[in-house]
Amino acid sequence: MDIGEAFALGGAAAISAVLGSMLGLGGGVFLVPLFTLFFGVDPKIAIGASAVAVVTNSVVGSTVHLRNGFTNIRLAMLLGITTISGAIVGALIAIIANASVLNLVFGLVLLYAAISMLVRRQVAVPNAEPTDPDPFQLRSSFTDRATGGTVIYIPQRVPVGLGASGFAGVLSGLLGVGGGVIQVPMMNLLMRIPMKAAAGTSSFLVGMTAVATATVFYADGQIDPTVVVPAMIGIFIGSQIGSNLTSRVKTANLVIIFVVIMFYLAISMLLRAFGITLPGQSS
Amino acid sequence: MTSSPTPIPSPSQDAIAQPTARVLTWGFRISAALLLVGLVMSLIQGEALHTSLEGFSTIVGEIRDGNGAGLVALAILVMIATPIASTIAVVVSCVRCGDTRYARVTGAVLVILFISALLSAR
Repeated sequence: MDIGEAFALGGAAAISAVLGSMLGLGGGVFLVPLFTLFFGVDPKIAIGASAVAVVTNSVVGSTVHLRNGFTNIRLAMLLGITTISGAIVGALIAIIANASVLNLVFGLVLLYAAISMLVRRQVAVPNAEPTDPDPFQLRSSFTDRATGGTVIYIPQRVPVGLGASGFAGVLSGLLGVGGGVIQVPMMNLLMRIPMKAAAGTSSFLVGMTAVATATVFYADGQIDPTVVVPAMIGIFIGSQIGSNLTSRVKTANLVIIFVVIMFYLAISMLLRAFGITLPGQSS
Repeated sequence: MTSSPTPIPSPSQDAIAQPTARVLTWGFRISAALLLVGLVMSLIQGEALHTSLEGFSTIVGEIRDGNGAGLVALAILVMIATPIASTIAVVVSCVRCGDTRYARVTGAVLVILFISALLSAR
């Protein structure tokens, strides 16, 4: 790989991180389709690179979330048991699966993400009372700078959350994505965790999940530094730009454009699964 | 989401979060420094990066030989190891706070992460 190609991969990683950051999905969802569709990177190499890039993104992002008090570490560790186990299983399946299957599953996950972006459901979580039951000792609080108040919450339906996290982990290991695309809505809608805490906890959790994926791919020789390094640097730079843009640009106005991009990538991946390559894409 | 003016103090939450954040920060800094030095050395030496991440002993050998690609490989491994190190920090912090329940839960996570690391041992 020459230096120009490395810069192009880095640029694609940065674009995927900007998109992921502005949509709150993480960069991995876009990274694998961009690498495979436009640069002809083998899906397994792209997934391995994505897993390391997700770790990088999580390490940087979690530091900020931890300092802001958004991360519920106890919850992350509890959900980590099923999520990380799921990721190991998913990664082992990815190693033996053929590229068409991976493209198909990726296309379906992108379709789901695009539709969930359009629907964009989230629930407001009322503050927990001191007398509310907390059998798993997961009560947590953080200061919401937007309102200046303290948000207190107790995660609900923890056993169901553990099951859903295991499923998110399998997808994460299978596709090299962080799993935040499933974890964040699941935590908010199912476990009644405020969005900021869900995003902060998910950011920390996806790093550990991606480690499990990356190590399985490392064992199989699927971690290619010529792809990983541009992905790491691109994701890091892109997520910084994305966070900056998110606070300045009204993301809601851009969602429809992003959703169109996601539909395009989803359909491209689904077609690729059946051996069809759209014009302008790498075969 | 509603807000309450009366915060519930949770000192142990902060006592776990701060050391964990420090470990993540240092892991990132070390990895970024190794990556930068490794890339500059590779450029100077005119050597391409490997197309597959080598085993740890090979990487150490390359670093001893002053090979930039070895440092780049080590940077990737340090980045992958950073969340594992942060999990160890959580276990230690939980034990210090007397939170034995979550020290055990985090210990279980650590065991699962070590299993995945063992899978990659070569």
